[in-house]
Amino acid sequence: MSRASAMLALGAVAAFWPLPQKPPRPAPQPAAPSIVEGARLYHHACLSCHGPRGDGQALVLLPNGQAAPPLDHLAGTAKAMPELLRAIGEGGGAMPAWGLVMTPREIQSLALYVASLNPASGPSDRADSPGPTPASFR
Amino acid sequence: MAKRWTRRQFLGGMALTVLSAWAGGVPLRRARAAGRLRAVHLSDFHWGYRGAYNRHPEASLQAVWSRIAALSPKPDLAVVTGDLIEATGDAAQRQARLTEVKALLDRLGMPWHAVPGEHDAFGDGGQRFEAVIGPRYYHRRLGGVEIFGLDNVSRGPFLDPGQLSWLEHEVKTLADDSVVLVLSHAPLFPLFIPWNWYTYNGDVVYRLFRRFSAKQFLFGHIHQALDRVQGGMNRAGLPTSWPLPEPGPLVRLEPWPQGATHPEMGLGFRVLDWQDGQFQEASVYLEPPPGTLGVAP
Repeated sequence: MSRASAMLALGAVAAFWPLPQKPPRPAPQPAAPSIVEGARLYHHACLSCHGPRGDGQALVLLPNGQAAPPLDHLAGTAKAMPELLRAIGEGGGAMPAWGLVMTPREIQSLALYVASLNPASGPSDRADSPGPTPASFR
Repeated sequence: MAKRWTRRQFLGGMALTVLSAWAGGVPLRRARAAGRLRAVHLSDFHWGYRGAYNRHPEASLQAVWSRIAALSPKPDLAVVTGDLIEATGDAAQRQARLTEVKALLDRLGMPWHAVPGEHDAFGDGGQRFEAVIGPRYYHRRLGGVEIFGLDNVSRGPFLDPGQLSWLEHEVKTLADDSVVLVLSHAPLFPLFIPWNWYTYNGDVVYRLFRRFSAKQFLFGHIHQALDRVQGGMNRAGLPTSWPLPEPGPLVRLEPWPQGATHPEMGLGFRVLDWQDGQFQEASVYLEPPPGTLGVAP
């Protein structure tokens, strides 16, 4: 290969470098809130302080030596879900404002899971419930 | 006459160079070899604690201070990875404890930087900590080393969005060959989530510091020496207060009463040296736990 043809080949590569990229894929549509996602988030963010079953049997105590409150009594009333969404998203006291790092959908999923921990809330009630909506959060 | 390289020879040579560097553990992006820094890594004083885990926490702290004074060469810097005080709901008591700890740290006779632990921030989200000790998060430069203090406790077990935006901006200003020391209270990696030994969005921090080959992540919170390579070398500081169990065997996290025969077992500090282009670490125990080699640097 002569020097001229080598230079020509190098120029051709440079002209097309970087190669044209594929158009970006459309962002996936956000999934609906789900108890499954809520369970995953609960085990990541809530379990240590509120206990594996949400009954206040904490694995670690708060810095003041007290246990975080149980959560398994919060569902079952019409106003429980908005209050759960507010408490998780905005926090208060020693409770972090998870809305700082979780999306509204994740907070809805978490609230659904926490509500499901209530022994008094039967499966049929939950199945019929439309659950929280984005508009009901904040 | 200079030898001409064929394309095959050139590509082969390049591949050999990259493979040799990788196999030998040589970072492809070399960090700055210049500069040296000796840092004392302190953690978890829990100043103000009264109870069975440590019946004489002031004496333990004094013993650590004496050991630091005897170090040779002298450290350039002390870093404290949180829980300077025992949490209290009383604002005046919180202020008093933080003020006392600040005076103790000033007595070390060297620059020091601290990050808040959840005990320091309890009750006011870290306001008193900021007023007495310093900002919740910051970027400092000493001895050619970039020091980042992070807050992964005061808003929850995570870095809040404002802090992450600040961090992203600060990290962008650094050259690729920068030497980086990152301080936090809780580990940035999921060491043991059931005991809150993690940072919810710690993976973002590792991503931001990924391009630096010379970096160390120092943390506290777990009250025992532990090193883990995840996004770089992570090192837990020794407590001056009381040791905690290893994660796993116990369901609940609980310290144990201080023993009469080995009251200072597991307490101490660590020394981190940056020299000749690499980090070296040594643990200094007041009394090493069984099976542990305490090193006197």
